[in-house]
Amino acid sequence: MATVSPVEPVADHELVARCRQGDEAAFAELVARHQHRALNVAYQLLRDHEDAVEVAQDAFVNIYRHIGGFRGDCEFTTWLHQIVVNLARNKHRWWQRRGRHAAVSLDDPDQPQWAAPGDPPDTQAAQTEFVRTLSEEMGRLPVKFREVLVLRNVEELTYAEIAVALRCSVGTVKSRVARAREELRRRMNVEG
Amino acid sequence: MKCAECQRELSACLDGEVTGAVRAQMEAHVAGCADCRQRLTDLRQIAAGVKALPQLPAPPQFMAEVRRKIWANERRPWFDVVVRPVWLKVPLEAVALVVVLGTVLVLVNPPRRDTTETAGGRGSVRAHFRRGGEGPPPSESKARNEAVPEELAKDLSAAAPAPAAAPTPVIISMPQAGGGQPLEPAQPRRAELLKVAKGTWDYKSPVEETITVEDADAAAVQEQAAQVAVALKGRMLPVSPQSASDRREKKTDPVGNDRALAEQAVAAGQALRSAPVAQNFQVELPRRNVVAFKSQLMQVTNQRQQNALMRQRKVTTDAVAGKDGQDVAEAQRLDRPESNAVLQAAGAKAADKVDAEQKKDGAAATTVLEIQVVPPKK
Repeated sequence: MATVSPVEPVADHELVARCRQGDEAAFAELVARHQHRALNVAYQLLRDHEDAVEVAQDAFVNIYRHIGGFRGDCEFTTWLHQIVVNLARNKHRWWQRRGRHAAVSLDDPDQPQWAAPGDPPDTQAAQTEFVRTLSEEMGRLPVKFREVLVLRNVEELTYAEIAVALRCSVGTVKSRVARAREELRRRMNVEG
Repeated sequence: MKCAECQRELSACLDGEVTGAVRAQMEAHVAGCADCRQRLTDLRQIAAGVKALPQLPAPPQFMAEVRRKIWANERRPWFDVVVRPVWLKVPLEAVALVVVLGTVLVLVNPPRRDTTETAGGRGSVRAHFRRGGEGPPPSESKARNEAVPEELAKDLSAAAPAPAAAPTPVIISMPQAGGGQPLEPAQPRRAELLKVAKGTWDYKSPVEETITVEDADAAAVQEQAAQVAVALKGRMLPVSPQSASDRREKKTDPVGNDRALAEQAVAAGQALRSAPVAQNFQVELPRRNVVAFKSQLMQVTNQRQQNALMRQRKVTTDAVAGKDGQDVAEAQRLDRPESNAVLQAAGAKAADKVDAEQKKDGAAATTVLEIQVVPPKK
């Protein structure tokens, strides 16, 4: 009986190497593999669907344009986060100059259900309410706090990876994470 | 471990970013501290909540849009790529805007050139003074001149040709229009005229204008000219040549009384009778009184000539009738008081006008006129 070895996914660094040689398929694979990551990070930072899509697309355009200069001294995801965060910052500053304050629409049909389908209705309602409130408070946090929280809790990057992505020290990342969570806790407790 | 230190490390501990030793101490503290325990619970819930934030689904055409943007970027012209960056584009656009606005302003409002052009155009503007012909220049006719009989004016102009050996008369003539006819002076302002005319005059020569008078009696002309000049606040210059500086130092005494002015004029004329008679002599008087001077001189000269003509006719008639020539001398002597009276009246009247104008305009610059007495043509 023939056994089929599961095809192991090609590592990111190999795809990057192929991209540098002009392999369009490798680039398409990278996009497919990490587009959600880019989108979610952009969305959490900008709190706007259209802006997040645009920033994520522009991030991959930049990667395609500058993949020849990627030395591989960090993970591809770290590099991607770096680009996404920079583009999101630019977009945020651009909107800030025009006086627009991004806020999550609670009636957005694209937003998924917060609670698991099997949870009791009361639990589901409480969790939905909690996450909804948390999402609102996240939108009110300063951008630098949002960045570290998203990269840590959503992307599950280490403090060192976050420091590379944000081009700051590990101590700064540690401090910001602690302050961001403390701030959210304080606001949630005040409202709750 | 104390609460403050524990709370400071709670978030890092939650993320696995503390060492094993620190983690052990924190766990021991949290087990015995309800506050720190509650904080840790809250931080865990927040971390979980952030992780559970909505995940944005990727649009179906995400990759296609990425490809389109890559393709569009590669097809941009090189100059668009070069000037695309905002840090370069904005300053370039600002510079271009400044250049365009500056060009437009220069074209709309060209810089003015300081010129002394008058109605005549570039170069030396020359206005033609009509001496004795149709009358004085129209700009000064009403203000200064007495009415000159046309017949006498024509006689004087016909009797005063430009002498060949005389100094060149004043030289202000209008540029020739088409047909070679001199243009009529377009009421040039006096200041502009003098300002432009300075460039065409010889500063070394003090004489501004030469007036030629056809008269057999040079002494009478000289006397009358002196009287008229004094009446118009001028003076007769010495017959002997003098330097311009000497002339400037000698100022005419101001006269505040019209009668005194007229008396001075008579006295000046009488004083000249003992002076040597010159065919050419000069008078200095304010510029504003030049026209009045010429008019007055013309008037008194014509009247004297007319009187002389009448006497000659009478003498001839008397001679025929048998009277002797003593009457001629007597008549000539009697002529003086008439001319003097005319001069007094004319001087007083002119002084009124001159005073009024000078008070209005302030101190007037002086000018020198040269009077040439030539024998009348037979």
